[in-house]
Amino acid sequence: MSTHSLKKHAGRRKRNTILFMFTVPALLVYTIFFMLPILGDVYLSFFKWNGGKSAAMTFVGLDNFIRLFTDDKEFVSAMWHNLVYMITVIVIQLSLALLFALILSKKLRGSSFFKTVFLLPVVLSNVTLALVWSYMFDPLNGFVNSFLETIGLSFLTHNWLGDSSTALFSIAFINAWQYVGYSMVIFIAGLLTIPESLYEAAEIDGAGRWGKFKNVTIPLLMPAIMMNVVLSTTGSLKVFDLIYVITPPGGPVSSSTEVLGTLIYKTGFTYGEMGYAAAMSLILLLIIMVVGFMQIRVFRAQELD
Amino acid sequence: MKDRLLPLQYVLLVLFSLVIFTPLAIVFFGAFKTSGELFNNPYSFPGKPVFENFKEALIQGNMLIYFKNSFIISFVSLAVILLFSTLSSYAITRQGFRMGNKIYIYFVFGIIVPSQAVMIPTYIMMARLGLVNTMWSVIIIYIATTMGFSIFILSGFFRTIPRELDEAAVIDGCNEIQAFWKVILPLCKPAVTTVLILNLLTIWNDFYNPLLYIRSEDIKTLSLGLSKYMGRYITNYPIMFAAVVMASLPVIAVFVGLQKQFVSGITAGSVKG
Repeated sequence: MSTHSLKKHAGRRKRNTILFMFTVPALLVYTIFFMLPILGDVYLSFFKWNGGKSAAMTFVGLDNFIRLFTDDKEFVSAMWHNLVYMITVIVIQLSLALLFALILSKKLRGSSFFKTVFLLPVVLSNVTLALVWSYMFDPLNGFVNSFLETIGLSFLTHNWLGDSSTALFSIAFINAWQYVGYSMVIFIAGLLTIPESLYEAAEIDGAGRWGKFKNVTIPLLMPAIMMNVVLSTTGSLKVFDLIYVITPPGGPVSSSTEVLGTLIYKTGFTYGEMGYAAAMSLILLLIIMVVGFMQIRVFRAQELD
Repeated sequence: MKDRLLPLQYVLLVLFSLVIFTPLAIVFFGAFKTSGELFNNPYSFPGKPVFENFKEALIQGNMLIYFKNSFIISFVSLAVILLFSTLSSYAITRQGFRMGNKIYIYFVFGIIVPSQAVMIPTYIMMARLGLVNTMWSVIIIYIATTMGFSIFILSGFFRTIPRELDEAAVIDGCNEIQAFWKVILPLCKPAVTTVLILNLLTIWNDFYNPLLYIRSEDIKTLSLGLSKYMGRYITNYPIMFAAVVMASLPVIAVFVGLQKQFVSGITAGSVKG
């Protein structure tokens, strides 16, 4: 090797070292406060421990997991609530989002105005929405009931958030209302990738509006649909703020809206069962990771297209 | 396409706009009403706007303090997030840095993990470090939990910038930091803005971490402070509305001003859960 290339080689190594140093601060904080706690969950899940500094940590093996699936009605019903919540959100949010994406993906006068309006709730905090909608759903003064009365549907009036049979659905509705615009933007991005020529070809083949929708739009929109389904799914699994603020723990309907997030919080910080709560976290993490990896695969597939 | 809006489509759009706007309008106008006026005319414009509610919420309701705390926490977190994530993304995407891709994948993995799933160990760690009930606990959590997403967005953008550019800068006598700061970063403004907005929204609106870590009234954030209007204080809707309006105006202003970046962030980052 000539001295020149040796020098160059040494220079590149020095540069790589400097570049690596650039990543060190991010790596440290990310590893210590986000990745290591995952291992912490695994470790804690084998113990019975109330979290006290001097309290004994008793090794219990897989007992926490066995208890979760054989002997914990709260846990099972929390998972069930997550599922119901998810389905309600997906049905309302995605159908409306798709409808409006189909309309607004065309370059129409005023379409950017509507896009802005539909996206507005996305930036508001969950606590804000909890307060706004608790007023809207207020059984006595709220808009929802008085609106129903005005249009002659007074038999539908209801204590939406205060009744355990409707609270979970009402909160899911608020969630869907907030994110219609978000899903819509993802659908629009998907629709814009569909080449116009495919619609023309379908037209030549004699396809009508419905035929074009069924045979061109839906199949080619599949990545965006999947993306939205996965986002709503992970979002529904993670739901915490809305539920916690609208139906506070110990409140009249809190048991009908208990989800995994609130249950983990309660188990760890109210009941002081840190090991058991860590085991629950691990299950939640596992479900979300499975769904999340699907999401990345969808994303990769989209990138390749 | 030269499609025109069909009447039915137009009706649907207007109807849904009303569904979006009605709650927001009721709250906005309600913030300028007295309790009595809100009760009698909940859906009208305020007859004679009352500003007392805002004063009440700011002073009696401690909103002024919450505002200050949310501002400090967001500002410090975002400054560190941007510094760490731009430096890392730059390093990750430069050729010759063999570890780059592995580190990238390690960071992107974090997008999937929700911070809730690790709350128990993280809380124990913060307690051991003596950081519970300080602003540092939430600031550190925000930096750690947004790093994956920030690096994901920024790396995607940094890759599009030819590395010959910074290599040339280095040959011309810049050191690595100067090449990054003077040549690369100015070109990455759109991506940096996107990361800034999305993280600002996440942090400004977060309720969950302050609930976990912050107890004292004097370091509570807006979301945490607002949540006290639920239930116990709910009898006075106009004051609650004034608080909600004030807490939401900054994010709405940011959203309206920087909408393009917001939308590109959603589509680029739809991988974020």
